[in-house]
Amino acid sequence: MSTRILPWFPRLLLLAFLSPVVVGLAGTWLPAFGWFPALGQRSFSLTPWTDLLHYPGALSALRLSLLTGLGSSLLALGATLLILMAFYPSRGFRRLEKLLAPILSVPHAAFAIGIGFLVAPSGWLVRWLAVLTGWPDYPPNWMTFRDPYGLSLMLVLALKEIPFLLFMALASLPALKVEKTLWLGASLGYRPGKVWLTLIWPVLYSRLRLPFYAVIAFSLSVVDIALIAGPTAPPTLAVMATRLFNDPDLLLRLPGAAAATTLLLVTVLTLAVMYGLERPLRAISLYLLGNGKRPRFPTGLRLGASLLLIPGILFYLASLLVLILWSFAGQWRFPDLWPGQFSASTWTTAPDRLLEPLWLTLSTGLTAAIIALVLVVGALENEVRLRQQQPAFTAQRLIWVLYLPLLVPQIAFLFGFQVSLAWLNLGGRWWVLVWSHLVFVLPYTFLTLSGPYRAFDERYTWVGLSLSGHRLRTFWHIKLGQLWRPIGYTLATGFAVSVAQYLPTLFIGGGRFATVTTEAVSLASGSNRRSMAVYALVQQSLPLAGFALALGLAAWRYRHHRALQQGQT
Amino acid sequence: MIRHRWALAATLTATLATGPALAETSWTETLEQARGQTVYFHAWGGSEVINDYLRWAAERVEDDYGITLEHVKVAEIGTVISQILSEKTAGRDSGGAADLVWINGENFASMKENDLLFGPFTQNLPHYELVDTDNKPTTLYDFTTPVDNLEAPWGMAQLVFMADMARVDETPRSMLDLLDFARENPGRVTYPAPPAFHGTTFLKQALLELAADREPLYQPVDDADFEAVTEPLWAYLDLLHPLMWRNGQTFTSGAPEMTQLLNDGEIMLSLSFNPNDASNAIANGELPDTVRTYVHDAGSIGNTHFVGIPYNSDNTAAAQVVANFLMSPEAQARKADPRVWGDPTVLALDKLSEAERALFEQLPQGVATLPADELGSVLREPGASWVNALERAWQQRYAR
Repeated sequence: MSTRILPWFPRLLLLAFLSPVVVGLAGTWLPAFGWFPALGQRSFSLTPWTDLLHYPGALSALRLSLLTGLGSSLLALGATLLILMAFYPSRGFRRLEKLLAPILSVPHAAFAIGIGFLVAPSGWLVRWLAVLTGWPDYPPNWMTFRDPYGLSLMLVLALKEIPFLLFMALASLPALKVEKTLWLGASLGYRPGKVWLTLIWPVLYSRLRLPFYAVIAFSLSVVDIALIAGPTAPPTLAVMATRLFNDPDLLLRLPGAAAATTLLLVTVLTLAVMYGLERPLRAISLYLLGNGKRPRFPTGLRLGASLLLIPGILFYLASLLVLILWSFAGQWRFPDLWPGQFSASTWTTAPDRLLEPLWLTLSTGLTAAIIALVLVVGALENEVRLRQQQPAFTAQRLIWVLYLPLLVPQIAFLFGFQVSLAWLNLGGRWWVLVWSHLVFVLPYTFLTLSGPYRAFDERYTWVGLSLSGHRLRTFWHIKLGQLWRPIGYTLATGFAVSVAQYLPTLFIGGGRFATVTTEAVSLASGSNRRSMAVYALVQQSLPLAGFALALGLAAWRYRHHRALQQGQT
Repeated sequence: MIRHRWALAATLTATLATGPALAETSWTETLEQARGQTVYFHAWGGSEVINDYLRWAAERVEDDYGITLEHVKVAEIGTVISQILSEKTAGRDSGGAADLVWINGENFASMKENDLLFGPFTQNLPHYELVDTDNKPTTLYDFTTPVDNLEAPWGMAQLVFMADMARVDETPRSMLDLLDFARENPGRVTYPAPPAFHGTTFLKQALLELAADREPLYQPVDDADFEAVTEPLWAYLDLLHPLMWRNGQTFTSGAPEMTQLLNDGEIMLSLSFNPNDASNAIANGELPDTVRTYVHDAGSIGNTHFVGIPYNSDNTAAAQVVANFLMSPEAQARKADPRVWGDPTVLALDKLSEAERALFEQLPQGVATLPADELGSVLREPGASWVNALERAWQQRYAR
């Protein structure tokens, strides 16, 4: 690969995905401070903020967002730690690892709907109770879903975040030599629990920090899950901001912009506090743990983790099963466990409705995934070059910047981005849609590929170079040849991220771009669970097909290379 | 440029009180201009029934007028208005993303107030003459806001309640009756949280039934003694909420969720703006066939939904042709068919030809649909300014 063009990759990368965020933020801050010429608002003031403060329920909404967002993130982090402590490394964990990709590709809204159908008073669990015991005749008036305190929302969010944190942890764990550390600790008489807490977790956490922050930012500002599983009176701040942006009273868009900006501020503040607390917390925990004591750790560790893991997996499986059942259901009422009649009519009419959105989803997702891959490979290759020149080089700064779009609430910049696109007359163009997806595809592409790519032993390249003397050919045949599997996986991840984008697709296209996801969300605003289920399943099957294809292709590519047949991912 | 000429032509015809000759020629011109244009129709996409109907309409306008009609399925119409506002903010007064929008009520009022609409244009549409403006005053006054030919009537709506008759012996005949019903069946009644459309409508219906004097509701809210007028409503809700689903601590997100809960047996009553909704839902398997529709004795809120054209659309000719097509007897009869959508027509049947009238008369009656004479009287929507005030006051009390 020509070294002259390499330095351009990180720059292109930054330009490609930071500009929409920056422009969008500015475009949202203007109305938040009273500037909205289209509505005749041409003077800067703090009125939108006082309006927001006086908007009924705004403060409770903020409290609710903080509670559910932070609560679910901490729960997810704790659960991740517990699961790792109990099961990593083990054969069962290998199996779990394979489940992670499909689990991650479950669309948010579909998952929330599935959970709702499980735990609601008319849901499956109570139906089992009713069928087995004959009580109750009608769904009880319990507060098990959509409770006003946001507990069910917290549960759904935590369940959605645990697989992501596990996934990210698994990317870092091989480098931490867990098995050897545990063995070392054991030789000194320490039980695994203590070794995990004192030796492994601190290092792992520093690598999980950014994904964890992304999880916090996501759960503070999530809209679709909060709409389905969250309270209504008042809703979370993100839902309230969305509502203000869509209110028939157009002037409410100004406090809406203030609410979106508040979400951004709250996110930044929360992350800053988290960051500030890390050191003291670590010091305290090490002080408490570093006492040389070798306690018999509560033997219930595995049991506790199983109690967490098994219901978690069951929740996922059950929500999937419920979707499949609904997609074929005729009449299906309480307390029936299964639909009274089955009908394939929603499926048979689907191709007609789905063909166009499907094509757009595929073309956009593949294009975004491939562009992101090229940019990321270029940036990583540039890193290799820099490391050769200056061995002290670290890519830490780049990573922070890459994470930015994941740390900024979407609602805080998409409105401004929409205005600037209209201003540049770029709205409604397909490549702009791809570009907006790239903003989110790039960070995940980087996250997925950087580990295996950096782990590649450059000595293979040197050998190749010395034998062929051809830089590009060596790169292609030797390096990429060995990285086929992570590259396929990365492409599938990028594609999955693109498929999941709802707000960007809606905002950028001015509604003209209908993907499977936008269709699914608009149908979710209706009452027909059958159509909803069909669309959710199609939406879910796309990333799944991507992952399956990636794994299958890698297996086919390496069918003659026994050493490369497993592992590397 | 095209847009300006059409705006001019529209104003001209409006001022000349629709001279028939002029209207004739300009309509032919409109048809010519419309050919080959694409209309992006932003409309709620939450119902496959409606989506399918619009797919049919797209085929028909393609065949008859050479117009490509694209249904942009939105979850909420507010996003379209945001889009148009973004474009206006950026100074894009032509080439807007939306060419036709499905609106009414406060959305119309604020688009009109902020000059986001093209027109007036409906006076130029040949089928507009068939609209029953005499007996359906809501085709002229949208939540009391004068329509002024800025939006074309598309369908009629009337608030109806649904009950699962397998569990309900007698349906409530008034809001006060509903309170008794809730006492007898605690936890089985609820309504969507305002500002969800149907939730706000429930508040308005309750207010219309409970208010000592309805007159102030049809004046701007600023002219009324809001506290005094709405006092009976809050007193009523204070009594009702503790008896409601989830003890009134949480509410549903809208009528679609109500339908689901009714099917699940969590609640016993639901509500809709389409008198045919229950029959439709039964046909789809969304509701059991024991569900029936009913209205309160005092009548219920009715209104009209419309299609409007954003001010910065480049395809206003085609948008007008589509609006005209949607008002045609053929399209209206198909829309009114409960097997298709079941949305009541805006047309006056006595203005139609024999053959056209037959289209409507042979439509089947849905199993859960009230016959026209039992649907009761239509209560007019309170003024648009009341919507926001009521929602605010509700949130102040119950969603803090």
